[in-house]
Amino acid sequence: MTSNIHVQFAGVSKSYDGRTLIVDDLNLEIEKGEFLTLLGPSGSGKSTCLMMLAGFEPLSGGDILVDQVSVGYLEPQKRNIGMVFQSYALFPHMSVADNIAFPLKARGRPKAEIREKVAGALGMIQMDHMKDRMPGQLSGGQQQRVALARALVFEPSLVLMDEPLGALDKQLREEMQYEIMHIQKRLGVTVVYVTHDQTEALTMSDRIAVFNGGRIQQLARPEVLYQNPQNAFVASFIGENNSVPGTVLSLKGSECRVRVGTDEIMAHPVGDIAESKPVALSLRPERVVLGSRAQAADNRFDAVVTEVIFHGDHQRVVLDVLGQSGFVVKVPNSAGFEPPEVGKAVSVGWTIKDCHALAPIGGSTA
Amino acid sequence: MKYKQVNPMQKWQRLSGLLTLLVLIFLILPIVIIMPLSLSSGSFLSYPMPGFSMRWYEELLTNYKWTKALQNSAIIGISSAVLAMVIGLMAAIGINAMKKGAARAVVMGLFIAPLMTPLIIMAVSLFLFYSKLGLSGKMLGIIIAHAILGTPFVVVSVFAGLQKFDMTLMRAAKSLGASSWYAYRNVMFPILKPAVVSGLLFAFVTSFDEIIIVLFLAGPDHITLPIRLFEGIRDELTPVVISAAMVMVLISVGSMGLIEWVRRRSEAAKEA
Amino acid sequence: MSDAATPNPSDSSSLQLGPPKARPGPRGGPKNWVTMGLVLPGLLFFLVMFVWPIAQMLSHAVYSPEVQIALPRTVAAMADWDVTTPPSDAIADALILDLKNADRGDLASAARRLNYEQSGFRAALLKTAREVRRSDGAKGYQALLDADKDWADLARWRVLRSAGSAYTSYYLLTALDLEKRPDGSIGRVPGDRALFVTVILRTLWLSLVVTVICLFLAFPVSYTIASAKPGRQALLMLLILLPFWISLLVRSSAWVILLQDNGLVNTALLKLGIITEPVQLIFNRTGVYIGLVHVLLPFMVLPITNAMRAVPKDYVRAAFSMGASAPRALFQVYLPQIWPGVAAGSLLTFVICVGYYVTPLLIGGNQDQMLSYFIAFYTNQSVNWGLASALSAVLCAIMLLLMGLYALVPRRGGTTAGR
Repeated sequence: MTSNIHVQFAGVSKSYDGRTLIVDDLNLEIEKGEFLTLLGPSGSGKSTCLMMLAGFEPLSGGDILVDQVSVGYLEPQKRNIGMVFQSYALFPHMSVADNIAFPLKARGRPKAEIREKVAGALGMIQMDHMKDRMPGQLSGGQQQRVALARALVFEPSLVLMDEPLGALDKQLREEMQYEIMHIQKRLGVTVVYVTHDQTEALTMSDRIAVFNGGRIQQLARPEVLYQNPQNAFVASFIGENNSVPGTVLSLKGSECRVRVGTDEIMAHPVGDIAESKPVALSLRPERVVLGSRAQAADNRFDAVVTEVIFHGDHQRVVLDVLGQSGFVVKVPNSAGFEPPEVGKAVSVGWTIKDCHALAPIGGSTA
Repeated sequence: MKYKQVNPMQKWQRLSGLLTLLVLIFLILPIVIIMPLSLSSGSFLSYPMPGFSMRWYEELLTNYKWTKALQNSAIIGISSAVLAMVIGLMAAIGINAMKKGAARAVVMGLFIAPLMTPLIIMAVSLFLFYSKLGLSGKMLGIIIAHAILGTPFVVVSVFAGLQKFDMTLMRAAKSLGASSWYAYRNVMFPILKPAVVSGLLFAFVTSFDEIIIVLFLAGPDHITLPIRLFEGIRDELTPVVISAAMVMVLISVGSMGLIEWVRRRSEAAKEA
Repeated sequence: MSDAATPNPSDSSSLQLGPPKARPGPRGGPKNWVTMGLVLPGLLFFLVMFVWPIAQMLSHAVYSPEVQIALPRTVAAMADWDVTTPPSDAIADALILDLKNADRGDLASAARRLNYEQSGFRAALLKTAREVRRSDGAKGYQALLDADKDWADLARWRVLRSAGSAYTSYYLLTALDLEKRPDGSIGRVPGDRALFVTVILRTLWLSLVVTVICLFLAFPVSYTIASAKPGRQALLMLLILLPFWISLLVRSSAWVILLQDNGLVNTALLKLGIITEPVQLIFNRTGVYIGLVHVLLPFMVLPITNAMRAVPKDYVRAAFSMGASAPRALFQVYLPQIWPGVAAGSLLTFVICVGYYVTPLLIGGNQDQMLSYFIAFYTNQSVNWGLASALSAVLCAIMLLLMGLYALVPRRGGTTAGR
């Protein structure tokens, strides 16, 4: 009763052919009222997890508990979980109002209650005036709202969303992100959200579980995920990232020396790092400084500019450095700053704590 | 005009357009030309007609021989179409849920087979079979045979509807708390209704026009409209035969119109 | 069943639930059960009322146990008869006993069956049966000769022996104008008895001609439809399909009224002075061709139009832009792409035509009847079900062969036909 845990994946695994594991021994706890995003590339197992939670995919092993009650083998219609589908899945032969009334009618609620709740849901998505339209007559964003209202109208405490904004254009997607967040906070429901769009995940989530190869690579708050990725996969999947391979020379506390080619770099070790093992150095492009600003940096190297691209509020400078090409630095267009010229030499630098020494992808992730 | 552009295909397009016109005349004119003869006041099927009258329609609707045939055709057509609809609807949903593979292909092939089977073979085999079963000369025997003929239309039409049907809708319904049956009844069936209706009408028209099976299986009390027409053409070709033909045309074309209307309406509902 | 098979909702420490790999998921077992429940009634209905009757009918082509049923002892006694010497008294006694005891209906069936192979057998067998039933103590070969002197003919005994087997090649051979000679070899029947090869060839030829005519007519029609604007396409399609919806009988009666000797066409031609006496246009081959093409043309037009619609206009334009002549563009660019539609349409037309019955019956002459007519004839009028079945088997074989050939035809790209 005192537990704040809403959903628990306990050793869940999933395999379609009995050999390849799509989801491999998943353990995950989701808190009440939390907005948790499952983020990962396609085929990483995130959607399968959502479908198992919804009840559309049978588990191969383990169990899923909702409010500490096992639902792993319960039929979907008995789980009382709201769901928003990528295609919205609005019933094309029913009006907006009938679509929203569907879960209430399926539960045999009295007519007066249905009328009242549908009106409330229509008000929440500000579509009272469109209640008699058919889904085919609505825009993508309106359909999205109706799908949301339909998944919430029967007051489930848990709502699942499977890439719900994937079919919308960029501007509408951002609008809907805020709208979904506001509704979620207002109603206090737990949301499990699946997406492959990292920006969306960073914007909306309380916590993000990054999936790859059927396993959770890292489960953390968005800012932690971005600032302190646990491994090279998370570093490269979230945000932009320069990855430089090297070998650990020595390791001492929160600092380590790494050999890259003929150079040595001081870095911040993360996770399972050992002396004389290969590492991937991860550097965010916006954390690298150029020219005179690099003078005070912990690490400082000479580079050659190969390309400068104008991006409005910032410029992207592409460099050859540390024997590598394609090293990207983001330079803000602040007053008085002159970007370097192509072909010229320039010095680059960064601090120790911004340079993460991570276990490389495919290396020892265990 | 010196630079008049010559489309190399234009010549062919004109020629094929002309041929198309001739083919259409060949297809439609014979039917159109005989229609007015049902209104002739004379007893011969030739132009010019001596005058107009409704006497042949009157005979059609009062002569027991014709009214009975019309009644039989209607009973057989409606019963067999409904039977075909029930079997075909269930089969199509079942086949759609089957795993792709040999079994599914065989079952589908079986339900389509009557379309490709020569009617004479069906008629003769049922004739022999019914004589052992005691179904010869019974209306039930004809209804069963016609239901088999009509089932492929329902299966094909509903199966095509199911292929277009978005199965996520069923998932959505279940996630919203609907039981399987509630989801079938309130989501899948309403969406499939146009496909079912057009299959039903196809089955009805097929039965309504069918003659060979009836020729072999019918007792003297079960003469249908096509059989009467058949006898009319062979024995005495009078305007009453044409008026009966007109009634058949009306019913068939009416059914076709209905199918088209159902189809357009369902498409309009989707696109609107 | 282990505890793991039933998830315990109240057990909050159920984290240690073993990995029950074989536990049925929510969509596992019951769903397949429902699927079977939906398909099964129709499947059974079709098997019992469609597949079984046809299989049984076709089996009559080779399965013919009438003689065995009526004369079981005779058949058994003749098993080791040497065929060349007169049958023994034991065989004769068996026949006499069988004739005395046989059910009248069974005996009549057997007599009819024997009569197909040797005319006069039926009368002789029934006469002998009457004789031996009348004289109680009749025994031996002589008693049979007394009843009917032709029992001395060994050919008759040989027919009896061969017909005694429950399985016979007789009907199938007859359906192909073949016979088993007394020496056991298989040969053609004499010309005056040959009938069915002509019918089979006629059926195939008629279907071929109708298919080719349909193909030639369908080409311009399909092309015009496929290249028309969408609105007009729908209208043209509706007009092409209109006859589809009009009863075969109505169309047949229209042709009779139009084409008979004093019909509209002849009257018009006479009045215009183009002809001086009526031309016979119906109740002959011309009439059958006209009628069948009218019926089958839509089956050809539909798949070809679908195939043509799927060909992007740019392809032919591209061919012309690269300097191809019109025939080259047609044969090398256009035809290969619509080939699946052409193949499907031709097969459909041919297969439907091969099995046609009503149209030739109503607007053809005696020399224009196809296989179907003879199947019906031997079922209804001549009541030779074995032969009707054998002819049905030939018809089925032709159709299956055609569909097999069609399956072997290479189809480029995706099939566009039938969509």
